[in-house]
Amino acid sequence: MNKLLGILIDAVILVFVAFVFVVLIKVVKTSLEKKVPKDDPVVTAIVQGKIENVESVIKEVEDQRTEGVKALERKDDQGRTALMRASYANFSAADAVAKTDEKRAPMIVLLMEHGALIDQQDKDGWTALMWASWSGLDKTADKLLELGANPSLPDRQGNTALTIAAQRGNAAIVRSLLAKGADPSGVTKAGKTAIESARKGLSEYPRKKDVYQDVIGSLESK
Amino acid sequence: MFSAVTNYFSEFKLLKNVSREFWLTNAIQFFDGVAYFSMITVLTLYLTTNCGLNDVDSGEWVGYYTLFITAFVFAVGSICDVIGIKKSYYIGFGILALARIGMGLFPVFLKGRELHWTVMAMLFLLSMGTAFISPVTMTCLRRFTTKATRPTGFNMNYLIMNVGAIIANAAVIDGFRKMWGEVYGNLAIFIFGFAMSLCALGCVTFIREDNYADDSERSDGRNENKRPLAIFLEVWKERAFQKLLLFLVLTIGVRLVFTHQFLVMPKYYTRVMTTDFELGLMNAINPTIIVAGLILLIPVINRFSTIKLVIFGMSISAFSLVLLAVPLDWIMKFPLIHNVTQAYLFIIVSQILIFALGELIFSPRFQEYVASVSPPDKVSSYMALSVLPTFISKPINGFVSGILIFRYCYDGIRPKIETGNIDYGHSPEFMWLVYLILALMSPIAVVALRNFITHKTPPVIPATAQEGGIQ
Repeated sequence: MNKLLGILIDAVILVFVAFVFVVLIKVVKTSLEKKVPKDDPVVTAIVQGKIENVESVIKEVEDQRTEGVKALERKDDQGRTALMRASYANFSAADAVAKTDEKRAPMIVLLMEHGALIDQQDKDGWTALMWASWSGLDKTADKLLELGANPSLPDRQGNTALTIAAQRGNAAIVRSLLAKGADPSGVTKAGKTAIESARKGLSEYPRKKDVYQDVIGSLESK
Repeated sequence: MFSAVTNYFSEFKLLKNVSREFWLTNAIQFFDGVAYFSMITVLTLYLTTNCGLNDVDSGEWVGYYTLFITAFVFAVGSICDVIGIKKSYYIGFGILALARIGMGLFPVFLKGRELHWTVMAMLFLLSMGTAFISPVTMTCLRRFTTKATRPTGFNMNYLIMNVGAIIANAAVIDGFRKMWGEVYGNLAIFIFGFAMSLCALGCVTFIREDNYADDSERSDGRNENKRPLAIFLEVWKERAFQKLLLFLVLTIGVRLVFTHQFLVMPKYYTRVMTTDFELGLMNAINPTIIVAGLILLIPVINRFSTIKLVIFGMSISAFSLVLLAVPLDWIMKFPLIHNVTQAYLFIIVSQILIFALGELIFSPRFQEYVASVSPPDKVSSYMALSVLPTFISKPINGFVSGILIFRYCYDGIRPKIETGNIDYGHSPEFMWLVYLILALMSPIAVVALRNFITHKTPPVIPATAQEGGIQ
């Protein structure tokens, strides 16, 4: 019994010491609080993929303002909004991209209905349309274009949604962008047009020859 | 090579007459190992994707989890001597089952602050459960083997633990995440952990606690094992212990690389590659090499001195970060590398292979070094206290890793890398440069202070006192 009591006393002391460390780290973290943005519940709901959850979270937060900024206009440390996060996915499997696209396209409409700004740019100058163009989310990109996204905005490096989609071999998005008036002659700071970006992509990923040829064909026909 | 393999396995013939309890202990270790290794690999991803914590918070929480495991192991490590093996296992696995099913289900029903606090409580329970299990398993292995079969018994246990790690990574993590996607795959891994806890509990019911393999192991009721805090108060003024502490502190930089495997790598892999990247398969390479190395390499490297191997192994482990820290443009110039995906895959696999080699040399000899510098009558005390520096460094590393990932390896960095928006100072490679510098400080500091650390301090107290074991 005495030994058990001794162990329990040790446990209390050690757990207390552990808690002291936890508190110390919390204090350091609080002093850095401004540099570390809080978790965004809208983004969490988007990533988890259930539109009903996204809707209920949006309703909870849409009237909240942080330093005068509305919840759906709020940017993370990289300058990204919830709309941009909804336009981004990074899967190698085509079916995973397609499934995500099915879920995300309606979320774009929902976010826009609740006041998200379509052409906001992150720190590097990327818009939601650029994120969708890189991700290969065809329906999401179409929805953004339909809702008035500007296909011609460049990022810091001079990339546009078109050069990005061409570089990634996302043929359907390239066609949608061209149909909405994206300029295929625009040049990035690296000196590449959309067609040259597609050719570079083809040289790097020769196994995706078919999609790159489709992209090059679409760009050549313009 | 063939003879090394047959020699290794022929040793296990010694175990043909060990009791049922020994094998039940190994089965328990296997079930718990599969659950633990699959959970720990996806823990930071789970906290971010399923619970909505940002990178800093998720790293910080995993740091707290590992801190509390160490605190609880330290605190309740000797509890099974008092309450017995079966009760300790029942309590430990009961708590683990509760925590694992909670972590698997709560994100479905809760959100926001409620979810965060609940998961925090579950992590606390998880660390408490784990703290009950590991010391009891060691007691079981000792109790259910004779002096002759004990070393082989411990080897078998280490082998089974690594096989569990391979299965957890290659089959459970990748299988579940592929089948149900990232969000539900992570939850399924925790529910699987709950099922494994039940399997382990099933094994516990068949253990006959009193079935000692060697009657001399029976306790005569005296207080044989001192509690860690009492040991610490006894030895902290000793010169040998202070030198050991210095050695342990100096090696923290490289030993933190071990924690990167679950703190940094899962997010690094899924962000510089793809969300559906086979992170389990990558993490399975390490235990596979350890198992192969145990069989093939250990007999060869055991010929060298402990401190030399510790420094050599540490240097290799630290060096494994070099490729991760090299600018990506340089890697792209390597032959047969044509794109960013190939470049990162090359970096990741090379790091895993080099690190596993370092670990194979460093890890077993590290414990041996701690034992070798301890006064003969205090080996177990020094071994128990050797976790002290990591007790402090774990939560700090969790927090720091979170900040580094948040700044240099955020979700969505891959598109920016491909489009030339990320310079070296903002890249994941820069994050690894920070870790590389920290890791390299360990072997350099140990080499610089080698004479001081390894020099045996002459006793300064009267010879009569030395006979009582005081140094």
